[in-house]
Amino acid sequence: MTKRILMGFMAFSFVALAIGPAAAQEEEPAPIFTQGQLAQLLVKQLGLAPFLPPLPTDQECIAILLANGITPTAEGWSAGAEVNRGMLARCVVQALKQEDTVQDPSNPQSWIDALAELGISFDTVGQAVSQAQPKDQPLTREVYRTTSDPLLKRDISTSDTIVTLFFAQQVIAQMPAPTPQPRPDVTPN
Amino acid sequence: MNKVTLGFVAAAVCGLSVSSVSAAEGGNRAFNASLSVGAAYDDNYNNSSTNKLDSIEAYVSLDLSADFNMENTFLSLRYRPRYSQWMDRDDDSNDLHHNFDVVYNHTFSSKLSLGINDSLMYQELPELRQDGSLIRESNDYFYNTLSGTLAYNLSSRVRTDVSGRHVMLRYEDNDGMADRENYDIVVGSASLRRQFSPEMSVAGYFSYEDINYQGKGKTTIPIRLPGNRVEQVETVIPDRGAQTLQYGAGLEQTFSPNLVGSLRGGMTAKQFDAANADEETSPYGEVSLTFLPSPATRLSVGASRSFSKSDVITYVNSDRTSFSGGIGHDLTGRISLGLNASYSLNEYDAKQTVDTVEVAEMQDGEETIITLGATASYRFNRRNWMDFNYTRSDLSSDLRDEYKRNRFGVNWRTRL
Repeated sequence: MTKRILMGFMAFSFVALAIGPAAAQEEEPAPIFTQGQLAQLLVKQLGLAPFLPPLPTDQECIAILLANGITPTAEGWSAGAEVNRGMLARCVVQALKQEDTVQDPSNPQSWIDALAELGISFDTVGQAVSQAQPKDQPLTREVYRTTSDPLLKRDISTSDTIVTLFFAQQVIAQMPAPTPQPRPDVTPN
Repeated sequence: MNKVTLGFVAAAVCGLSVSSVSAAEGGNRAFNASLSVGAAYDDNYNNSSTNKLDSIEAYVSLDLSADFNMENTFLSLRYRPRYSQWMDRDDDSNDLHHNFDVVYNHTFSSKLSLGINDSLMYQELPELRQDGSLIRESNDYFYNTLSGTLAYNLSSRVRTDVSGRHVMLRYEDNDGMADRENYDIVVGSASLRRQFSPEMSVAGYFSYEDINYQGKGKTTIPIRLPGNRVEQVETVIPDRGAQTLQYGAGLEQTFSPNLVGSLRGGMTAKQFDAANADEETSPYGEVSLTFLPSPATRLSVGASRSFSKSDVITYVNSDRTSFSGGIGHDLTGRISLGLNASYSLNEYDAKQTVDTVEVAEMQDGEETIITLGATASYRFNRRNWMDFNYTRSDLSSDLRDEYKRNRFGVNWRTRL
């Protein structure tokens, strides 16, 4: 095992040396508010963070929002693209499940109008996102996630948990826990 | 930890939640609450193949959450109790479950961040008796996962994470279940991620995991040893402890605005504490894709293969291959449909068994677990929904009791 640990460290160090220093010299990008940053905010606001590892990446946030049908444009997400008011309104309306109130979904202004009709106005990104309510039944339940990541695996999940998935939203677990073994014929005493 | 502690935690969470209501001003909702009431028919609530018991469960559940979003700190608390009443279930006809989730993020600077997630689950699964005979032992349990990550941005495109995790399972009964199954898992991990573009990142991973069973070596009531061709009854809990090393690389890619995928793979080496094999190595891997074919439809698929903790007491390891998929579709603005499925194959090797049995007497074994779920939701208005659900779970095993279970439910939920 010691050899394996050393090999692991060596492999990790190799990757670190290969991609670390080169990137460290890059210039910082201009500070715009990107869709990736919006995805981070929405995941927190909608109560989806427990389904992700601590400090998730933009892509991890985008994937779970996509699985819940929340996108800033009809096409989907572009992590590096700048966010505008129409995109923001679209995400909030979708998070509130009020898409049917939008007159013309292809027109960004319609999403802003729909939000206004719901009595929600906003001047800043934070203000808009704060209007989105937590998803009390996240659609992540539709995704029985399988993973090999030791930081994410959930080994517990009794069959009772499986059938209560739709109610308890314990969605990431899917493997049955060991069922109680039947008592043997012999008993103590 | 016991129920009293749990009650204190619940009271603390509720207290924080209530105080956040008064803190919330100008429509900024720091506090949210919802209520669900429903009923479900379960055709095999005791997970049996030979003595199925069916029942109807009526339940009520609350979902209380409080979010605190400050300049550099985010704290989210969520508490979900669920009370259910079963018809015609002997002895104990009601269950009370609790779930707590805590998410804490803090940004120290533009380069350094800390994230902590904790999820505590208490499930009450009472002893079941039918006509005077024991169907299932009492096995209420606590399950807690605590994860933390410290992330440092070497540059705008390179991030390194140091992570830790503790997983704890504690059955409450003293009738053998706790001795056999209670465990602690400790994980340490490091990763380095390079963002090549907003749409693509590559990462290298290294992790070490230690699993330790609390009851190893204890004398217990006689237990059967599944997989042993020779009928053998053991009174000492065998040790399934192991240390697992994993290293590899991963890719996250946004192929198009409506298609996101991730790929991860590498090598695993697992060393056992007291087994007939010293060490096993194997590649591991997983892939997942999330796709939005239309604004009203979302599709997710995934597959993984890796070593896994053994669910059978005689084996120290299982080789798990899983596939999963889910599709959600908004039929109209008010009606949503969901369908999901998963398939898992657990393979048990006779050589990877505890050292209290002879390899020659052991058999290889397989288990398949299939879960299916379908749901239809109707939204009456902004605050009220009705859900219709169906779930099926199917365990087929060479080594332990098999079962099939179906459940049909209807549920009304409302925001308070």
